[in-house]
Amino acid sequence: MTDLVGDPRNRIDAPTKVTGDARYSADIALEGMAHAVFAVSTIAAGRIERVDVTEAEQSAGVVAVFTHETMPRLARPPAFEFPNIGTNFAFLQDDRILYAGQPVAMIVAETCEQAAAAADRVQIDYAAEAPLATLADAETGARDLQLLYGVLPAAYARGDIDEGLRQAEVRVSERYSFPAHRHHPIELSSTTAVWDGSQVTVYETTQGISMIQFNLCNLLDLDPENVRVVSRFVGGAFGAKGTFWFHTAFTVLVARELARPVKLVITRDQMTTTTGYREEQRQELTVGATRDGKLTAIRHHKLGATSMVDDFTEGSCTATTLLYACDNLDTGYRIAPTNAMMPNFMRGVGQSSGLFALESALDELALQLGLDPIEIRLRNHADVDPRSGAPWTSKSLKECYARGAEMIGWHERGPAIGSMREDGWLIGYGMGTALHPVPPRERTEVRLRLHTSGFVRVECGGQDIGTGTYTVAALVVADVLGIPIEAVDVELGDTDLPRTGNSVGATSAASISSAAHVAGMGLIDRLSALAIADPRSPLHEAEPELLSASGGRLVHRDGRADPFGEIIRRRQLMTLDVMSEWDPASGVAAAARVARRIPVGQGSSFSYGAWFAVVAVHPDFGLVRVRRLAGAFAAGRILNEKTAASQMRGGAIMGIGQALIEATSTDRQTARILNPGLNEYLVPAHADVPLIDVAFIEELDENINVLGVKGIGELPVSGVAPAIANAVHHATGRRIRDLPIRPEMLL
Amino acid sequence: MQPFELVTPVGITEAVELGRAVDAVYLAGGTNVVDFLRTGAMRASTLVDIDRLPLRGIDFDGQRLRIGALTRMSELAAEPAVRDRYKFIAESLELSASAQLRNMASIGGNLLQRTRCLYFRERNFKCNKRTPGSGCAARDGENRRHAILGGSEACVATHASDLAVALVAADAEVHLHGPSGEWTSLLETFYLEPESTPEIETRIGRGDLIVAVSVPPVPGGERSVYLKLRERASYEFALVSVAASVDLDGALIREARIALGGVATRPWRARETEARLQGVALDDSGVLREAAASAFVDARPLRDNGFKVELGTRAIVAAVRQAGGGA
Amino acid sequence: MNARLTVNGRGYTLVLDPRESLLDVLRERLDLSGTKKGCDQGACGACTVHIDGRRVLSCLTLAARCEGKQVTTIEGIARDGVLHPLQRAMVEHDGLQCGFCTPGQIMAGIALLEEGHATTREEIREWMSGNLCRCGAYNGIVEAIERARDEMRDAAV
Repeated sequence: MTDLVGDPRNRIDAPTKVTGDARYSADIALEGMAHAVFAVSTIAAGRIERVDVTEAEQSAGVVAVFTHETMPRLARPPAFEFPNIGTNFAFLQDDRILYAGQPVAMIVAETCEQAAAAADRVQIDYAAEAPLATLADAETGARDLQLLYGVLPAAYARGDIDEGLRQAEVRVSERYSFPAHRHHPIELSSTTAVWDGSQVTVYETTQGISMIQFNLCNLLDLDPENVRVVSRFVGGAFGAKGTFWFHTAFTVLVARELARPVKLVITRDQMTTTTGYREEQRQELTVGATRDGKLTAIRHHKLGATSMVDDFTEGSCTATTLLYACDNLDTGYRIAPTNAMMPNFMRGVGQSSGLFALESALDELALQLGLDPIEIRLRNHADVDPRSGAPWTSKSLKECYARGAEMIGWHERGPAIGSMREDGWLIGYGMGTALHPVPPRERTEVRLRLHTSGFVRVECGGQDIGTGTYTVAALVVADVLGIPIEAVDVELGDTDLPRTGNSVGATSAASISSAAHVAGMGLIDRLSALAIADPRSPLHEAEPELLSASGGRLVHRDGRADPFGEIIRRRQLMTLDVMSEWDPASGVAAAARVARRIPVGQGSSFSYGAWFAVVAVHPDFGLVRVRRLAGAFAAGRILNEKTAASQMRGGAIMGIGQALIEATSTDRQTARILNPGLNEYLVPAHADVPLIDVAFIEELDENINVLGVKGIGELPVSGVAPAIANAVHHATGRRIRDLPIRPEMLL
Repeated sequence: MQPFELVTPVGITEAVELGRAVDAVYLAGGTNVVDFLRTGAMRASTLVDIDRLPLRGIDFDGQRLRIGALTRMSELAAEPAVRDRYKFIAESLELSASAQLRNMASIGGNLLQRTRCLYFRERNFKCNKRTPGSGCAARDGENRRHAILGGSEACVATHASDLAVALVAADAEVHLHGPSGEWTSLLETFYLEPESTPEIETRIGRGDLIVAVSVPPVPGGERSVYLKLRERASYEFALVSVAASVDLDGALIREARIALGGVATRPWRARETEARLQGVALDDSGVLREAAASAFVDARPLRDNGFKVELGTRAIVAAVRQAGGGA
Repeated sequence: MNARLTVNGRGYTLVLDPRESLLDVLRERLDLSGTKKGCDQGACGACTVHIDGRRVLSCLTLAARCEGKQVTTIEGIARDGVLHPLQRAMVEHDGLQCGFCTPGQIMAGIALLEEGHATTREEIREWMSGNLCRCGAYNGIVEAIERARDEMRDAAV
């Protein structure tokens, strides 16, 4: 690969975003378009006894009002299937109320103002039941979880946990809790559906246009050829838009019923109860170790609040099973049904909550043993995957610890509690490990279209949720073809384009870059064939192995060259299309030019990192401010350092939110969310965020995909909350195990 | 929002005539009214747009500050006389809300802003302020942000304005024009505790329009302090706040003015604390602490907000020290 | 009710519902979708525009009250395709990811610079706190503001 890949590049979609030209899903006004809004339930459990829409229907500008009685039926009831279908329960299909904020009517009007006013006039009589609001209310009804995400065995054990605990000379046994969190991307979820005969175009802000298309076809009995989903720019997602939600289906149905385009926008308050969230949870963690700090036992059990009808909880114990070398381990999950919406994955899924517990406990252990926090982690470093003994395809966690420590100035840290002050504030240093699996890749298609001008258009059906997908696709193609990035144009976000997978779990960059790479190689092969066969080409009858791409030309080793555009123009072609399909399995095999240490499928692949935090705690008021944050990460090849560093900072800020600011507040009497909007559910603001220093440890891992990209979207959220909590302890001697850390806990 | 009629009076007299109608609401900056009309916490059939009335402008004659009610928060905060002589007023403003909101919101509107209590804001909760007689869901609910002072069985909603806290410490007066003519009130007593009628928040009568706020000199005003404690480093209402000014005679406190926010149903003047601080040395931590604690003697903590007693006490001590020029 | 609005120097005559926010009028009636609706409750800043040169929230501004005022949106910032120094700096310093809050950040940032509230990093952060960014591009935004401030100051010399 040339220098192009990896170096900091500006986002190619940045110019269109800074001018306001970029069109997001709701930035659309179609001829005859009507506006739709939901009315939502104010009770959390029970049934709708009576719904009266007369007054609403008669309100100015109202086109139609749909309730569970009149909303067209889905072709089949949904079945939970992670991550596509988020829940077993489709609202607006029967009279059940399972959570407060559940949509109970869709109001369609000429303007959004008229729709909102009419929504207030829908009259509903409920038969309310006593709801289960929080974990505290629901835990007596908890049951064991069998499958994580509906597919993975939830419980995991190895060795003999009781024996391991007996061998322990020191022990930490504590409970750690997380409140519920909301994604709150700044862009509201919305669907605009417009029918043309039997074809529908759906403008949906989503992490998976193919997923939306698939589920619309499945739930509405539609033909994929008749369903087009478009999402060119997504205004943040973090998991909220990674699942199929039913507002999409109902907007499509209503648009068909009314025979006019319909735009539904979920309000900010409604985002809280219609697009999933991270569940309220409690973790019981026991770690045992010898006096040397070697772990002998870890028991990690989690209790998560779920909905009434779905068995969902994020995999908080997964990191525990594989981060440290520990022979005796026992992890498991219990879920407690509550009258809340179905939780789903939120950025840093599983790892960020689980590592808060584990990395806090490691710190507590280190303190008991008088060991440096980094030292205790090094002593328990897992050199192979402790679950199976399989080798890591690559792991540079030690380098992350070392680099991060250097960046934050870990040696300046006086280990004594409360020994450091600055401007009257107590100063604390803390650290935490971050990790994320390298997820399985999806089959991905990319089309390249070369123009005689030498410009190349890249088309793939994926989406850019802010992670920099547009830029990654462009720079990989530019790099392979040896052309400047300015000569590459990228089109994404349309199911009419070649099929790509969802932007979830950090998969996009790897899938799209791999596919783009393969497509680029394919284009070179086609151009070579054309040139070699053309008597008018300088490369006529050349040996293909001696040809390479450079500067927009096909170049022979002896210096002869033929510009791409020329090659095709001579053949009377204005454009040349190359369609490429990248299959993860074959993608690995394609990298077989490089000798592989580990046979295909026999290694374990994870990305790792380490966060280091310096916090200031006000000695009188208990206020906590993050003064500095530094992180080092090893995630294979980094395609674009600039956008990747931004990703890490963004994840860190979510971690700051977890540690210090964010919490859903639920009224226990009514199980209604008290802080549904952004005025009351606080997320980190400018003033909360210090300069965040980020470094990458580059790894060459030829086992994961042709470019060796691991993906980084989720990685940086984990490790931050424990780094901050550990730093707070260092500053104050107070160990906080219930997030968010509040001033009254430190008075 | 439910439909309303928007009317724009030409002068104050016409405004008052329109404003005295039932279900009429004055609209200045609109940042509070528009938001609460959308959530349904407020209802209005007529919005009387007073924003073009000649009620802007800040006058300082060397003694008294007079602020037109339509002056924007950002304008008042930037006014040199305010920054120099009533520092805690400028600080209370600049620590409020966001720059955009401060450009939009009027002084009059800020003083009349409604509570941020979540049970008030969201309809269908029991809320005596929004729907008299329906009950108070906060008393037995999530009440970490609610009042420990000035509450009643009927309501414990905290007053939200930072500016009002500083103005109450400054002995400000509020000037109104109404159907019964012009009248003036000390701002401190303009605000009412909920008692059994939490829907009545001030002494304002139907149709009364705030036209100005005036502020006498504040001893120690040039060094006065608005200390605002909140979890998010910015753009959040106060957990606990203190407006403090201290006039020194050498090392002794000659006069202190202290008002509290985030802890009471109205901006709370801590007169007991002020009295105890008279003649006390600024570095006498013990007495400072006792004086501060006296502000909370009648505090009635709820399930979640008891920490405000300690936090409030410490905040008063810190604010007094700062206002006296100490650390 | 009839109202005449001036947006980015252009006049529009509209029949307005008094409830219509300036934000909705811009987006739904004038096809100026660069200003974004993030919350409609004055909490996120994504809807920030300039009215008579001052930064305000268009979601809490009733459009009917904007008669006689100059409204400037993100679409009115670049002149003849030439980006404002802050727009350029945002690209260079990666002050955005998904880009949704970006128009609001830029409108707030330009006003911040004109107000003179960009003297230190702390001041920038404090005075920009009304603009939320969930992707967490805050570091890049602050750097972009500093860069634009320095460029504009050097150009003025």
